[in-house]
Amino acid sequence: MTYQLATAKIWDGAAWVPAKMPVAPFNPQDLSPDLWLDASDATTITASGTPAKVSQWVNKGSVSANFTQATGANQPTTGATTKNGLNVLDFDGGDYLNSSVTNDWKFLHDGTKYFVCIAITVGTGSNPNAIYAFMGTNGVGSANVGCSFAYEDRTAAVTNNATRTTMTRGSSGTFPVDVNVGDTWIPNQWNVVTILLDPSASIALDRNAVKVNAGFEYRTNTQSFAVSTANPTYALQVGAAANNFGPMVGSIGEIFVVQGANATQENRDKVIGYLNAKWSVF
Amino acid sequence: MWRQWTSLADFDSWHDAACAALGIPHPGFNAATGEVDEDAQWTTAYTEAVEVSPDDWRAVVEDDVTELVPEGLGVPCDPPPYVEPELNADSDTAHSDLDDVIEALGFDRSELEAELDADEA
Repeated sequence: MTYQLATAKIWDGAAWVPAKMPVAPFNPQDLSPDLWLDASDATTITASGTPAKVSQWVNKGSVSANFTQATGANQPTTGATTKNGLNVLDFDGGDYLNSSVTNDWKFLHDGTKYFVCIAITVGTGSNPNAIYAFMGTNGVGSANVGCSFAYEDRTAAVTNNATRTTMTRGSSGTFPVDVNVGDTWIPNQWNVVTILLDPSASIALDRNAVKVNAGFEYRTNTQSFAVSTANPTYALQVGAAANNFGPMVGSIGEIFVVQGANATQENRDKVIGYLNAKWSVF
Repeated sequence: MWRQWTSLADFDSWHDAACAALGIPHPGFNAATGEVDEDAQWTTAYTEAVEVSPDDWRAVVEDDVTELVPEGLGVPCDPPPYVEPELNADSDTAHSDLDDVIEALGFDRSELEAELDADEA
């Protein structure tokens, strides 16, 4: 077996220091991801114009859903920005890509265990005072059914550089998961952001685990309402939380969503390592 | 930049001209091969108007299109009024604050701090 070198951080007795670690080759396809969007794979991108605007991004995961945008002014840009020499998609705060079948994404809120991993940067400064959602099915509204994920730094929300998960059940004010994990995500620089969810866990803290880059895993959800097993209100949207709410300003390199038996901390960490080795984030 | 029209008909008239100038509808190209992909999503519109009121229609228009199709272009305006979906009140939202975690686990912070002080001593 040929081993690869990955960047990691090790404890040297006094501090965490970067180090190169030998790791067995990891193929994301081994995890059978439901969602795998890869901006570095040009074969998955359909675009037109200068700068090139994306009308379709093909999912390399198991859900046979493409993410599309027919309206030119709402199409993200490709071919303009790179990270670690790899192409990324740029979103300007009014760009979204939509899937079409709501039932494909029911597992994001119906109690299924899964994780989300994304290589992403948001904002253009150190204090955006904004909510930038990178994907979702509920438009954040609690009267809707679904789940959404965002960077949250609004003054009104009294949060700073938070990773926000909002899982809703179609009942105003009641949430299976709703948490802002503060001071986890630095704007205007690249991050590998991960959220491991077990929405039916009896202990609320175990329902949502956020880990960004090589940081700690935070389990701070205190919401404990039962999940909805209905279809989500909207099909999954990338670049906003669905219904065009909370559109992000920033760039996406790659997104994974893995559900079921493969949705473990160990596999989540493998994907973190894979994304970091590929995109050179931390 | 957001632009404002006083009627949907005025917006539609400008939008039709913009689509004609931009060659919309049109297919996209595969980013790897550069070949036209007829089966992938086409671009079928340039922008979408948001109704603020019956005489207030607003849409995003990019600078290059503003220059390309100036006739009938709406006037610059603010984005549509922001109607935020219902969000959880901050008091209902868990944060990563240590106090939240301590409370959720049923500990008393002062007791924990006393234990830490004793350990350090």
